[in-house]
Amino acid sequence: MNSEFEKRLQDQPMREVPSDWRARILETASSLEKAVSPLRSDRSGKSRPRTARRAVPTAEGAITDALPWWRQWLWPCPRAWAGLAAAWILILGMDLAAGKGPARPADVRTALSRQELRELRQQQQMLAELIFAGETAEAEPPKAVPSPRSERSGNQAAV
Amino acid sequence: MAATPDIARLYDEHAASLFAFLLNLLRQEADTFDVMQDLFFKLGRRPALLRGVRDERAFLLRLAHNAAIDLIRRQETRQRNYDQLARQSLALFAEGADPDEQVFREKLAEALGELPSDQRAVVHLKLWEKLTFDAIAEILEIPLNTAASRYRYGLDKLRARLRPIYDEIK
Repeated sequence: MNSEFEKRLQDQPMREVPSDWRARILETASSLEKAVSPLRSDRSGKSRPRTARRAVPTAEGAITDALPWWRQWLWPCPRAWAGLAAAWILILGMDLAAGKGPARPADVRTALSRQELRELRQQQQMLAELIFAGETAEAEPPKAVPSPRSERSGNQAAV
Repeated sequence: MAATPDIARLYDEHAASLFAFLLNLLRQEADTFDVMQDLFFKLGRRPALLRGVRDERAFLLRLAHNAAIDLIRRQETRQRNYDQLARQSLALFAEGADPDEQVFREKLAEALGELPSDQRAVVHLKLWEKLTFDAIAEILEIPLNTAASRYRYGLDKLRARLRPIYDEIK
């Protein structure tokens, strides 16, 4: 039965290609320019027949194949890339407006040297104070520190 | 600008097969047109694609199948609707003069729409392109046994679905 059934199915003729497709498909296949022009006119917002309008993404896809790889990469979402670029410009503008520009090397060097200078002066001052304190300590005789126990016993005896 | 003669020849020789195959797969005339237009556009732009090809028909069917699968995958939001669309009655076959024959064709188109697309592709290539399982496996890039089993399952489903009307007409 299977072969008979298969034969029956095979005998069913498929529909023919719509007659107007040949001219339209071959016209598109013949030149890239003709594929680009409907794409551009479609963006003008004019209404088009359904099949013609649906043919546009295909032409667009075919066009992208002909472009360099980086344009193919950017092609599908130009608005997203434009938005990203605008966001970066905005961030840069806000940064510049806030006066926090990037630090220049010369400024860094100057700031470092000033700080080093300040530290050096502090060190010099501390050294001078230490030296002065040492000299005064040598000039004065050492005070006699009485032994607490002997002093205490002496005092008690006197009383 | 007129199309190059080779593209015109390719169209005249293979468009009918490509149309039927794509229409059966995509179940939408507009999508079928899109894929065919894209296919011939690429062939026109890159004639070298066909250089060294032994069987033009098989090669073009393979390109068409890949393009159809790509289209279905790209249109993810429409993917869920494809099954629904596939089940709808589609003018897949030529109109028959005999009313019984016409009814059978309509039921057959519906039954084909109920098949999974991978089984439908194999059934179509086997029945209406009369290709061997070897050729089908090569076109669809599947193992030979897979092609044969898909055909068997698909045909069984068609037979079960069409048995009442088939017995009646017979």
